[in-house]
Amino acid sequence: MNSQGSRWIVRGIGLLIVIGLPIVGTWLRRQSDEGCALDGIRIDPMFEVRIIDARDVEHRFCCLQCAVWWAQRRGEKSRQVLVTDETSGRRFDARSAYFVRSGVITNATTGNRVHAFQSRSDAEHHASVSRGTILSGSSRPFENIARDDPAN
Amino acid sequence: MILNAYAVLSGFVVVLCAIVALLVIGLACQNLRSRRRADSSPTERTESENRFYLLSLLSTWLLGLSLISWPLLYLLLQSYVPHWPGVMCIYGVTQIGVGSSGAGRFLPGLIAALQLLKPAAVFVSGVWWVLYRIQRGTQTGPLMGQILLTQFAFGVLALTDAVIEGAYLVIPKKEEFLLTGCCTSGVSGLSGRSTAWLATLSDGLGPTWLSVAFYLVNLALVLGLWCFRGCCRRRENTPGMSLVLLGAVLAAPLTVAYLIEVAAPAVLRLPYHHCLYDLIPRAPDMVLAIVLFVMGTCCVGWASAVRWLADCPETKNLARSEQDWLLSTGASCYVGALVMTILEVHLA
Repeated sequence: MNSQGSRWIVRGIGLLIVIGLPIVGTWLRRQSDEGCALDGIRIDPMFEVRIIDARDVEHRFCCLQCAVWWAQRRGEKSRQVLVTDETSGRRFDARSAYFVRSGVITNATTGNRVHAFQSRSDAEHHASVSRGTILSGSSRPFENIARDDPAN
Repeated sequence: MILNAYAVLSGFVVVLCAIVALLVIGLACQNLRSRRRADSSPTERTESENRFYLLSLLSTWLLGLSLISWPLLYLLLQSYVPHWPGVMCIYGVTQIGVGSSGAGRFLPGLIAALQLLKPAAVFVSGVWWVLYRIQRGTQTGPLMGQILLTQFAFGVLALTDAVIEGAYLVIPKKEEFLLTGCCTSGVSGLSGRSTAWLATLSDGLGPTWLSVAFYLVNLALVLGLWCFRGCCRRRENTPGMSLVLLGAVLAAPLTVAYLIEVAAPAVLRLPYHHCLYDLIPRAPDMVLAIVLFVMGTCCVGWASAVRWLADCPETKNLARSEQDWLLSTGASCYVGALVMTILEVHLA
């Protein structure tokens, strides 16, 4: 084969790589499970937080800290925030949650120490065994992030 | 010291690099000294020539080792990620030792130095390689001085790199505390970026303007390269090489800003995660686009080096054809990188 022919083959292979690789790469990434919407790491269902934004799009997070940072950067009120009860693993509205700041870290990357519970007795139990305090008022996460009326 | 397969491989490459770099420095110095002596005998000249061939062989080997050690550094850092519970990517590994009072306090500085030295060594080795290719086509070897100086500089850079990497491998790091394991958390605060100048640039321009500026500047650079190449073919002395080099150098920070601020969050589908390191495990195809950008910039740099360092009557035609090839390769690399980046960002 002459040099002109081999040059065209090389160009063709180059073009194939340059166009094909992004298409295949993007397709493969879409097939894999989605991680935390802030940093992309795998989500432990026990600490999962979901934020439903004003456009009804759901965003999943690996911990409360990631969800709070994400919402602060987004700078708009969310329709609803769902947190996971650490005792039962059930998801429920963050407004009715009891949050405890304790020495137990749920996510080493973010250093999240805030835990969510559905019942007050579970929250008080966790606070007593891990030297934590139940958060109230403005120290509660998502205080200024979630809308007051979920129907909005 | 953390021992794993990559650490052992890196250690082996570091030792080889240090030995070869020392030999390259020694032989380059010897040849430079013997060149200064005008009254050398034919035997001494033959010895000097033989030394030069050995030096070229060792430099080729060192070039290969430098090329291997560059991606190997990132594979090594990636392999360190699981060793700390709070680290989620290479960024976290680069932060190990921040705020430490022991030997670990040097670790972030050593990594930063390595990330600058490795591309610098590869670039200088490329300058040597193109000059050597031109020299091989001549009768009298008029570029000997420039080649020896480039080899000496390459040896010094490779040796410094090997010593720093060796120190990084040996310093204990497992017991170091971590301030932050992800660029999205902790230090990044409100801006969400670990690099202040990028945050300022992006917030000042806005992501749309940053994208427009990136595409316009890179397209202008590609067009400039093709035009300049065409002019060089038609005319003997074409001015504007400095302008093309300046364009490539100025486009580099803009490209970095675009990749961190726009491309990485889009490709990773994490709008507030401005981390290029995460592309290595999660989007390796995007790494190829970055490699093409780097190659494009290096090709323009090498073409400029050929223009300025191989400027003598005997090498004129050889240098022109080498410069033509480098500019064409550089433009192709930029086009490939741009196509890949556009596809990656808009398909994500």
